[in-house]
This record gives sequence, structure tokens and C-alpha cells, in this order.
Amino acid sequence: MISKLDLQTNTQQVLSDPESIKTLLKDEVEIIPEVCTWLGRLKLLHGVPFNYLVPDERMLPPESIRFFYLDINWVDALIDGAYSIGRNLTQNRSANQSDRNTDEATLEMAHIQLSRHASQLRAGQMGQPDPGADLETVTGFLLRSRAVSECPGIGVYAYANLQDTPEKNQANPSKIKVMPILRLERLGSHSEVLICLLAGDAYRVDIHEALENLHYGIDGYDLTDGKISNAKKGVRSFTRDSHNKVTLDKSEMQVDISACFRHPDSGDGRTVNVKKLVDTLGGQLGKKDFDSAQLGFEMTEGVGMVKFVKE
Amino acid sequence: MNDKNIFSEEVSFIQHHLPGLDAGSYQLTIEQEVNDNTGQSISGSDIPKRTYQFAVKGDRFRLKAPGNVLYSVFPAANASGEFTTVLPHVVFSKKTFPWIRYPNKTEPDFKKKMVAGKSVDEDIPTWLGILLLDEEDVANHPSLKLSPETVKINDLFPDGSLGNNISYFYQNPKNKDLEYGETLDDLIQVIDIPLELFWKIAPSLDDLNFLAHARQVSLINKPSLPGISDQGEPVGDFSIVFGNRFPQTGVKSYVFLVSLEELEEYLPTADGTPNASVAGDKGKSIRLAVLKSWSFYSTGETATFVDTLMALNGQSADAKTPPTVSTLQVSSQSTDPSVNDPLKMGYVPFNHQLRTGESTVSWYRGPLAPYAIPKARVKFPVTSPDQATFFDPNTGMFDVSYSAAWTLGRLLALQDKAFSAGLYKWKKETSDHLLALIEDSLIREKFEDILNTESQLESLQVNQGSLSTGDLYSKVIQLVLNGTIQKK
Repeated sequence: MISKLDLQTNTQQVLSDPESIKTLLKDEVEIIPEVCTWLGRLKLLHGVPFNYLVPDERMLPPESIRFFYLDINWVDALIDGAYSIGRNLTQNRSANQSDRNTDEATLEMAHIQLSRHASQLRAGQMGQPDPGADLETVTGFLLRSRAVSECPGIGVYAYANLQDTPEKNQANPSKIKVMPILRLERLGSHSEVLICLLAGDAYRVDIHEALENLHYGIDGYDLTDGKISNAKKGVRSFTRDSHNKVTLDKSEMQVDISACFRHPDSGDGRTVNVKKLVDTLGGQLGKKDFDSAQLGFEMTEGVGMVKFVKE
Repeated sequence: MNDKNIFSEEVSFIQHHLPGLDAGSYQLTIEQEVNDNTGQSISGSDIPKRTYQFAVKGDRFRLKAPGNVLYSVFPAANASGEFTTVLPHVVFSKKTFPWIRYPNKTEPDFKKKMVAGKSVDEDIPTWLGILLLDEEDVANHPSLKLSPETVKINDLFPDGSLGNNISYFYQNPKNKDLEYGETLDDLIQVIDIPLELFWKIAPSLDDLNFLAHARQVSLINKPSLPGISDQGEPVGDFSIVFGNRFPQTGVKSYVFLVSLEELEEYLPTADGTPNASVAGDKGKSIRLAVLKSWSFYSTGETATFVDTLMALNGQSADAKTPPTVSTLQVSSQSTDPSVNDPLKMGYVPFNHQLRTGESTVSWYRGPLAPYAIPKARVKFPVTSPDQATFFDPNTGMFDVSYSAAWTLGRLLALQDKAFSAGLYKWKKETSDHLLALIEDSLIREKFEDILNTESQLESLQVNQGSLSTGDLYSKVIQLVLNGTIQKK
């Protein structure tokens, strides 16, 4: 027969040792999705007040960029704090430590699930596959600059080492390896601080202008008595393949567009006669169906980019 | 700096995205006709018709929720830099926005404009205009004001403050034809521009064909944008509208995003002269609804995106040496290594009120450390935050980084009721499951021989594999009560 005492002794024995709890649970613990999502986001520091990230304002002055390694111990402490709800908090060794032991047995499994969740959080929002990051090494940067608020869509490319960069793989672009981004967002909707967390140890970070925000510009002009002269714009011829993919020609040709402005006698000298500009550029490039989209990429100036390399 | 290496990112330039239905009111009528086999109608007028009214709402004289539509402007508001060779623009996060209305006098037939088999669609003009004005224009036209004025929609009509001037309803000013959801008392922003000036600087109808296009870009390497990059798609659609006038150096430029809806007749010709039909209105002004206005200053010194980033961390643009500080740390003037070293390691001193009532100074470092920190400095879980506090006997100071993190985690969890309740419930279930497993293993251990005796279990139609612990327990009790099982 089993006596009540047997059961009590047995239970106490199991609960006194996290390892035996683990053996019994056999990694079969599945965290419920709501909890997993919440803790997974916490693992990427979602919801952590800014002054816990940057405890002193002098650490991140205006117009600065600061690179960092994510201290995984700090994150573990944060997660354990959140996970500790309902745990009996006492240092007394003789006291009932079963909550703590159960937590210890499940925490390791939980961390694996949380990391998996955190790894695919950003990718999942964009319908992309999980990059499969283990979150053991996470690096990143904080960027505080007016560029963040003026240009909400700036692009970030990070490389783990020199061999992965586009420069090293010009012959074989498929070998270029961009590090997965775990989190990239502004800290607050109107904030000028951007946080970026990368899966792995970044060697180089490239930041470039947002492509949707590229502006129209011309190369230069002279303005005398309200009349524009010597206005130049470099344009590139292009070819279009069967998938409508456009390839720009390498050589740029200078087109004089001084005649594409209104005459100061009738209009305003700085105002572009857009229709005439379209006809001029289209004529130079030998394109009949020159439309707003083509004007778009001919008038757009190059994408500005800045590289930050770890010394 | 390099502009040719953005290998994996492409941008698609798209001529336009036309909305399924333009903004406005619609009427849908459903009729049914029944014909006999000769094709003769036999239903007469007996079958009732159904008529439905509906409206497609779209911003008209103001942006009701600018944050959902407006994405960015260029040059940025209050920016100063070299902008004399660029045209100002506005980017919208709604891809159809520049085409939800039209500048034409009457609604153009968009369907006719889609020509099958042609490589490009016909050009569709945008209803939005970007007008750039500066002090020089005010000098030439003293009645011009460079800041928009707040008025009511009723002031777009002659019996409002518009008076003799021109606005959107010039074709039929008596009929106050507002759209669903608009009232005459709605507040809007307007600017009055003398027609003489407007004709010189405003785009012609042909120009408007080319002043807007759409772009599709990858979102993978961009900051998360609420409402754009959480839609399960790796690409985002934007539309963009350009101005047609270059700014001047050394003066402040004021930019206005205005509606040009149905103003075809008042738009200038290609060389900036008025249409003959309206040339007589020369002395009047035109009142335009302002959807967005901002200003910038063109100084002649470059201030591009690249310049901004190059100047980060206090670097001058031509600096050859790397900046002294590029990690999160507070610089110090002290020569004492016991102060300097922790500061370099990213620690910050904080006043610390001890539990015992004393106060001291302790070190804190956030999760964003200047160098790689090895894992497992502390073993979690801990039974109290004190277990994650370090003490440095050399300086007599505490390192409270991890205990602060632990406490923060606990507070964040307690703050979110849904989470804390969910976590507690799950823990309770896990613990119940664990107790059941303990009981189960005990039973299996004690009654091993019986449970392995297939015949006995079969007689009770018990299938060991499918038994839950509760079932197993009750079956065994039944066996004991039946006297089938004797104590070992």
C-alpha cells in the first residue's frame, strides 16, 4: 500500500532537488503563448525604462552614436525578476524552497523558448522566417541624432566580419552576409533615439538614407536676374528586362536643363517646367514613354551611406 | 561613403497607385429584370429597386490624422543646409493618397486611361501641390502672408470670409456641396495667394502628371514603423509628391502642401501664364487649403544625411582619427583608478539607501555594456535581489546592476496584470502537473508487478498507455478493494 507519508516524503525529496524535477518533467514544459510573448519581448528590452538603459544623460549626448554588447546576465536577471512572481522569497535554507527549485528546473527550458520567440519577433512581423539567433551574443547601438527624427526609415546593415561585406564579395554577391536584426526602432514615436539589437558580434555597421525618402536634385545652376542658366543634371540611361527590372547604365551623361525653367518674363525663374523637363530628359535618353516613375529615378540623387567599423 | 553597395535592397519606382474608388459619395442601385424565352421582359415594374448610398471618405481640406498619412518631409522642418539644388517633397505612408482626388475640372475617366498593351499607363495628375514661398514673394506681393490662417470650411464660399476671391467651389459657389462627414464649421488651414503669383509658381496640369509617384521599398533593414512594418510583409509602399520650385540661398523658405482639387481652370499654363478664360481675375487671390506647412533655411553649407552622421560623436567632417568615446560611459577628470576604471567599464555611481537605513554610493551599469561580458556571473533563479548584488572589498562599494535589473523585471511583471495572472496560472498548472507526476511515479514503483500484469489489467479493460494518473489511481484502488492486490 501507499501511505500518505510515502507520498509526502517522495514529494519533498523530488521538490528539494531541481535536477530531479527536471528529470520528471522531461523538457515537456511548454510556456503558454501570452507569457512567452511577453517575456520574449522583455528579453529584447521592450518596456525597460530609458534611464535603466542609459543611466546618465552624459552617456548619450545629442548627435552621438554608442555601440554596445548586451550584458546577457543583466537580461537574465530581468527575466528572472519577472519570472519570480509567486516565488517564496527567503534566504532561509531550511525553509520550503520548492517554488524556487521548480522555477530553476523550468527556467532553463523557458529561456530556450523565450530566445526562440525573441529571435523571430521582428522577422515574424514582416512575414519573414526566423533567423534562428540564439541570443547568446547580442550587440548593437544607440543612435541619438536629428537624422533619426527627420528620416524615420533609415537603413541599417551590419556585418559580423570583413569577409561578409559587399566589398569583399563583389565577384560573388551571394556570399555577402548581413546580420539579422533583432530589434530596430525609435524609443518613442517622436524620439530622436534609435535602438538596434543585432544577433551576433558586429564588425561593421552601415547606415544609409531611406530609399523612400530620396529627394530630387540637380547638379547645379546659376541664377542671375531671376533667370536660371547653366543648369545641369547628370542622368543615366537604363535598360528594362522582362521582369520590369531596371538596370542603370554606369556612365552618366550631363544634360543641360536650363531651358526647362519658366522664363522670368512670364513666370518664375526658379520654377521648373516639369513637362518640358520630362520631354528633355526623355529625349536625351531616347525614351518615348517617360513617366513619373522614370522621372523619379533619374531625378533622384545617390543614396548617402556612412560606415562605422569596429577598431 | 559609398552609394553603390546597397546590393540586396531595391527600390521600385511606380508611376501611380490609383484607388479603387475616389473619395466622394456614391449611390448603388440594384434592379432585377426577368425575361421570357423570347427575351421579352415579363417583370414589368413590379420588382422593387433597392438603392444604397455610401461614401468613400478621404482627407480633403485637412489631414484628420496626420500621423497615419504623413510619413516625412524634405528638407526637414527648421533644417538649415545646402538646399538650393533640391526640390522639397512630402512622403506619404498611404500609397494611393496623391491620387484619391483630382485637379481636373470634372472627374477624369481613369478606366479610359489604362491602355492595355502599352508599357506604361497614361499619366494621372495628382491633386496635391507643394508651393514654396519666401520673403521675396512677400516683397513683390505685400498681401501675401507666409503662415497659414485658420478658418472654417464655410470661409471657402463667397458668403464666408472668402468674399470676392477664388477657391475650390468657384464653379458652383451657391451649392455647398460638402462630402459625408464634413460640416461648414470644421476648422481648416488656408493660405491666400495672389493669383498673379500663383500662376507664376504653381504647377500646370501637365506638370502635375509627373510630380507624384509611388515607391516600394524593403522594410527588412529599417526601424520598425507602426502600421507599416507589422503587417506581415517585408516591403512597404509609399507615395511621394514633389514641389516644382528651387529654394533661394540665404532666405527662409516656407513650404505649403496644398489641395488643388478641381482647380484645373486656375492652374497656369506651362510657361506660368493664366488660362485665357480666367485671366480677368488677375487682381484676386486664390484661397488654398493647407494640409501641411513647414519652413527651412538654405544656407549654402552642406547638411546632408551623410554630413549629419559623419558629425556624430563630436567629429568634424574631415577627421581622420576615430572618436575617443563610442560606448556608453561617463567621462571623468579623476585620476583615481578606483573611480576611473568603473566609469570606463560603463558603470555610473548612484546614491544607495540601504535596507538598514544607512546611505552609501553604489555602482550601476545598464544592459548595454561597452565590452563583452561573460555569461554566468550569477546563477539564476535567485531567492532575493541581494543574491545578485556584488561587493567590492577594495573600494567597499556594491555593484547593484543585476539586483536593479531583477527588481525592475519583477515590477514590470506585477504592473501588467494580464501577464502576472497568466504567469501565475501557468506556474500553478506546472506545479500540479509535477505533483501528479510524483504520485504517478510512486504508484508505478510500488505496484510495478501488477501494472505489468497484462491479464489483470485486461480483465479490467485497462490500457496502461492511455491511463491518466487519476484513472490509474482509481483503478488500482478498485483492485485493492476487490482483494485482487495484496500488500507486498
